[in-house]
Amino acid sequence: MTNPALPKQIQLLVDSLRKQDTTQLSLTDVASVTEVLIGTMSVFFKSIDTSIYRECRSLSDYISNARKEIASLQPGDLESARIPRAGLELDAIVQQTEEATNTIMEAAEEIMGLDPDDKDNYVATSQDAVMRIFEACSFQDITGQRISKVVETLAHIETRVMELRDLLGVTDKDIEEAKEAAGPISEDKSLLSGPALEGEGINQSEVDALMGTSAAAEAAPAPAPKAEPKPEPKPEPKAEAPKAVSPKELDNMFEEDFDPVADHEAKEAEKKAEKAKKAEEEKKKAEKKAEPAKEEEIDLPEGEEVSQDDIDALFG
Amino acid sequence: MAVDMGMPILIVDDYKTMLRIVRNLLKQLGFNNVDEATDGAMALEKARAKQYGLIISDWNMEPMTGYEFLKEVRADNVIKNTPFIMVTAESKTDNVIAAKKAGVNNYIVKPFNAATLKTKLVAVLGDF
Repeated sequence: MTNPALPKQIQLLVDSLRKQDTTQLSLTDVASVTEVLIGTMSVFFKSIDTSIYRECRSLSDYISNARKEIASLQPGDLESARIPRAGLELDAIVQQTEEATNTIMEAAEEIMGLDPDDKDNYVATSQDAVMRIFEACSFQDITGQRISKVVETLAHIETRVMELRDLLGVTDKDIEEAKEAAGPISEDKSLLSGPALEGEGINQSEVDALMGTSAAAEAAPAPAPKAEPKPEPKPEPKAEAPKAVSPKELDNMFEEDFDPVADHEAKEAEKKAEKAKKAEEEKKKAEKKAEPAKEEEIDLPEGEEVSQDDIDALFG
Repeated sequence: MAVDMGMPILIVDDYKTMLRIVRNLLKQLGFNNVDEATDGAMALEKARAKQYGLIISDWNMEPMTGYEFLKEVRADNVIKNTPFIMVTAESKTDNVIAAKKAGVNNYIVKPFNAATLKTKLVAVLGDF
């Protein structure tokens, strides 16, 4: 920290020197100005040294604490024990299910290949094959236990990663920036999401509806695909339909000009437009009664993803 | 027109168990001339080397996916008209639409049963 009196003293000396005839400046005058300057600069540099030191010390403490806390998360345990173990468990699951499936299929193929006219052989061999099928099904219990271990490891990793995120102060903004830096995902990769869980994805009937086929429609073979890709049909505004296909919709699908892809896209576009409209209305409403809305209890899980339906329900 | 039960069929899946299941189901339905491939690239090579009456392919495979394989088939003037059925666990609307736009003839969601497979075969090939 500089002494506030020093610049004034320097200013006074400089003013005094200016007033004098510079040709008659004495060595004493120059020396006194220099002394004051040295004093000022010394205090200034001393203050810089102290602040740099404090910053370095603070940084060093932060790194030291971070190291201790990361060590307490036991990454070595994850790397050397838990993750490799989980990998081995998953490999064993794949192997055991494959072995069991092969055993079951071999037994089934054996039964299929039996001669029903040779009754004694048929009964003996099929019973033996059925027993092997039962035995093979015991894999389910073991794989269940293995999967539980893997799930436990994943939960452990999730907890540790979350702790690390909090420790390093990673914000949602940082995550968004990292996502953007990763770049866009290719079309083919974005379509690979694997098997759906209960309630996710669509069932075979809905697939059939999208494909423009159904049990009745499939009585006639599908036409050979055209060489040229079909141009994107313009969506036509239609009434919103539920996810499940109604009999009326199925009837419509049999019409010659019915295009299920265009129909689906039209419905999606209509849904989006309606949602946007609704959101706009809700926004206006919320602005009008901003204060009471703040007092309402928000029944949504904090920090978790919520669906548009949850959000819509919240806004009544 | 009657379906040629002896026509060659190409089944594509990276899981040998699944290939075995589909092969057995086809055998039960009367189709015995079945070739196998374990990814899109191998399947494309086979499809270009031999004229198949039908291709039944999984989607999620490496290095070439079933979707890429389908697009390659439809872009090839020689084999572009080969009937193609996608059999996959990818069951999102976007997947079905993408496959349909790419020219797939039918789409089966895993797990499936023999009745579903037969229905789709009839839809694509005609009654047998």
